[in-house]
Amino acid sequence: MAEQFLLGLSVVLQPHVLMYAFFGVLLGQVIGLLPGVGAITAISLLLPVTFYLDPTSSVILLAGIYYGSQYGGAIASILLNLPGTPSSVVTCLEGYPLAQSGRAGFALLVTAVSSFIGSMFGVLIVVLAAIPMAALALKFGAPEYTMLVALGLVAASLISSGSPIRAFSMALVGIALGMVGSDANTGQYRFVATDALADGISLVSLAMGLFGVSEIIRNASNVETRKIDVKLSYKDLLPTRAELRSMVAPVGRGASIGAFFGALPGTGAAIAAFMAYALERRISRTPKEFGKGHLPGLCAPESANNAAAQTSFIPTLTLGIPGDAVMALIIGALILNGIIPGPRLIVDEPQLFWGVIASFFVGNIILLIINIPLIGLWVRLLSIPYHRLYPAIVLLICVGVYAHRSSVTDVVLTLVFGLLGYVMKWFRFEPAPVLLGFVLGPMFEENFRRTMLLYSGDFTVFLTRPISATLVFCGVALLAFTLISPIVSRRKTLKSLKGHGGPFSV
Amino acid sequence: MLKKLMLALPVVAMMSGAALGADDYPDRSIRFIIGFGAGGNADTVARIVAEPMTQDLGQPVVVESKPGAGGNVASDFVSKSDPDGYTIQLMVGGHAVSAALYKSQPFDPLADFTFISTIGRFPFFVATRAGAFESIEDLIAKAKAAPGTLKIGHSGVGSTQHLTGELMDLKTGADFIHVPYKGGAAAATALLGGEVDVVIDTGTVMTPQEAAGSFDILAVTSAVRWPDKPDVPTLSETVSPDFDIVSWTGVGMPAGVPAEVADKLRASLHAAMADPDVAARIAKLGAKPSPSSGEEMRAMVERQIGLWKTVVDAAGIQKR
Amino acid sequence: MQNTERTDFSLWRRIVGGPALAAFGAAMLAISWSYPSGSVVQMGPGYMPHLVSGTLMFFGLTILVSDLRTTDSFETEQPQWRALILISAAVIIFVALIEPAGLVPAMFCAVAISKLANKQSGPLSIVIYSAAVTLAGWLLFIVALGLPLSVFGR
Repeated sequence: MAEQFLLGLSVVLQPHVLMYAFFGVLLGQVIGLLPGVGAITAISLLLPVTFYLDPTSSVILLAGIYYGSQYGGAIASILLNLPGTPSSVVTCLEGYPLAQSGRAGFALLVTAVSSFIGSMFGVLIVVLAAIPMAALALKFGAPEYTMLVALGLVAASLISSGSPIRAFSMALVGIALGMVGSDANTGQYRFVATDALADGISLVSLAMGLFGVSEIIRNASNVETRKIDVKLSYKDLLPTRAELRSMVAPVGRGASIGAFFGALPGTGAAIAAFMAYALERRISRTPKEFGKGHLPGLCAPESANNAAAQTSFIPTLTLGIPGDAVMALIIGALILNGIIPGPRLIVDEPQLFWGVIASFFVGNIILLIINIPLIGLWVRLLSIPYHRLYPAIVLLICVGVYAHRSSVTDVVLTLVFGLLGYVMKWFRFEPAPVLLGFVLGPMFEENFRRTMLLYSGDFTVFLTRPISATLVFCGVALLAFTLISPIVSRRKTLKSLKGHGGPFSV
Repeated sequence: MLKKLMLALPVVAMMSGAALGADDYPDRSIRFIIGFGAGGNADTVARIVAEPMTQDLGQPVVVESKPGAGGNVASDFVSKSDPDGYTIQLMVGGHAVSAALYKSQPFDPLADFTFISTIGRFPFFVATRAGAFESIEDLIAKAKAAPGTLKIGHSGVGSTQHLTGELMDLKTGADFIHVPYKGGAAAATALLGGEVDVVIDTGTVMTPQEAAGSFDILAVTSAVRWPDKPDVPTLSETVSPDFDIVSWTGVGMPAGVPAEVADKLRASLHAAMADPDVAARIAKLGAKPSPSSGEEMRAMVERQIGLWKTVVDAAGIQKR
Repeated sequence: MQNTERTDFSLWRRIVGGPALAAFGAAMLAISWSYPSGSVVQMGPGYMPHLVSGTLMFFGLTILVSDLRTTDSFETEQPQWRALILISAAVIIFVALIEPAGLVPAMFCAVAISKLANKQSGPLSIVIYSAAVTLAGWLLFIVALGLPLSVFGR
């Protein structure tokens, strides 16, 4: 492998190729800052340019935009609570509270470094294990995906500070919203109130509404000049020894989860950050700290989603199978250049294959280098009084959502979700599981129905296939643990104090 | 920054559409509408011809994506645009399928359009996992011997690929289970992983897997053998006489475009396709470059609408 | 963040939350009533909506029961009606103007109206501020990113 990787490095270190890698990650970083504009928009805008480049440079450029945007996405989430993708929703959960408490620079540093470590781990997996990972991904059929997604939904009940039933209800609301549009298995329209909804609700309007708009309504009329104390000295920026120690294991776990899930076409990258977050929360000794800027909850998902961003190239490059819209665009760029990617790419075009992989390595180093000095700049954004900042954020949301697919309905829906996100908190409902349900619901329905169709309605298939059975076991264990642990902790607290909450207080 | 790179930006022309003769046409940029997302087959084809047309016409031909409802959003938009020649559409085989699949469309798939020319024509290939079946006859015989057991993965309910599979059922009397996936690549993955037994899709999906030895291509859906794959038998010469499905890409405009304008655009498109490099790029997508007259294209679309209506009704597919 | 305070989980909030969820489920069931369920092997488009809406109604009632029994207090916030109305108005004016009038008028009006949500701003400062943000928006979205949006009118 080392030999091929060196071949790849020799490709990517040619000055003009290096320039495209640099330009790609820089653009991705900038684009990622603008939630809603996102990697897909940037890549489709740049697709015509790849006509004039060689295939290797094209893919390096476009791939750089993609994983660069993963870094950028965290910034808007941490500073402004504006998530544009499912993974940056998770970043909001801990990053935004941390920034509100004056440690924005620290939060950005933590995410940049966690992202870097996660990415590097992902690249390592791509280099060492692309072929076996692709083979493993092929073992995931409809039953496995069904159970994987179900596991994700169970995890949804763990990602909010409220009770499991409340969280799960919100995930169901998300699943319901995800049903809008045409049914994938019959083509019939469901809940399509206007033609503009025929292709479903856009993830961008849901995420920006529930998180961004509701937060603006919450804070817009603050009369006192809200000013967050921006600390920028090295001492404030760098973690303490104890903090550093608390992050090592979560980053490692996050990277492993991300690298694994990322390699599954389609499903993986979206789930990775949520799963990493749920795991940290579950195994944490201080679960009450989550949602208030808890470090393991910030760095594990960041590391996971970046690892997943790298390993999601595995099915694309080794099998010619695009897992999501971004990968489809990258394959489109190859086809425009006359290369039809498939299993033989690695043999027929080793320069391209290894060049692209080496570019991940180089690109992530570039990203880390450009990110750290920029932290100071981003943090200054928060020193602008909020009443001067929020109308610009309103604008960013409106234009971002509208530009996403030129739909005014999407902008109206963003407002509706914003109001929903604002009001639901009055009734102790959390927005994050809605988003998870929205992302996972359609995948669950699609794969569940496909499983039933493929295996003639036989439910035992979930238990007779080893991978699926393992996932069922994990899900059941998680569920049991969630339901039992409050009883146990209640017994403990009952001994010391009078009861507070418990399993039936939902 | 980006703008300079992009060379030709979709700046929306704000001129009121004054009627112009063919001599002046085009004097501003032409919007080339596609009904699917960037990076897909339609987008790729549009970009391949847009570039030489831009040079030929002296005005930018700007590809603009209006995805949604299986291309119907774009068709609706184009059918209601001014017939001045500045809005053109990349049409695909789905145009005919939609006409059969939707209960009502906000436009007439034939009368509301001026058909310019087909660009490429491409068949579908019937593929199985390597070594699973000896031949297409073997596959159909086994399917008939055990009705409702063999599975065909297809790229989505109501896709041309799906309807082609249903047509194969109807014409051969075999009874496959048709399993929907999100796109041809996902269906191909399912075939690789052993979840389905057959996939019917385009050469771009199949050829790389065949080259790698993972798939056997058993048959082609065109009436005669496809030049790229002369060894692959047709369905019509083996198990289903007269089976002839060839999908296509082409260019259309709103109805009522002056004939001179349409002719000028057609000439430019044909000139672009005559360029060996452009032809080679189209061929690389598994399609045969097929310039045609407007009447030929219209007749072909009309024929396919009729065929798909029969298939949708006979297979009992839910209309939308 | 400043608007939160620790209050009791007031009675009306306890009564409304669960039933609102159940009502959402019921509305969903009503709309999806006509969608065919199909069988387990060949699930129709109605199968999952029926399942999900039923579960939602059940959970809604469960939550109502437990909310009525709970004695927890938790952090709630004072409703920000002014911000809620004006931010909504800003988004709606953006929607109303973006296609007929173009990006620049839509941006200007949306920024100006949302600025009203905060009582601190006087009329002149709103105009200057909105013009500045609109200019920045134009530079960002049209000049730098080249998004295919019309700047003025159609």
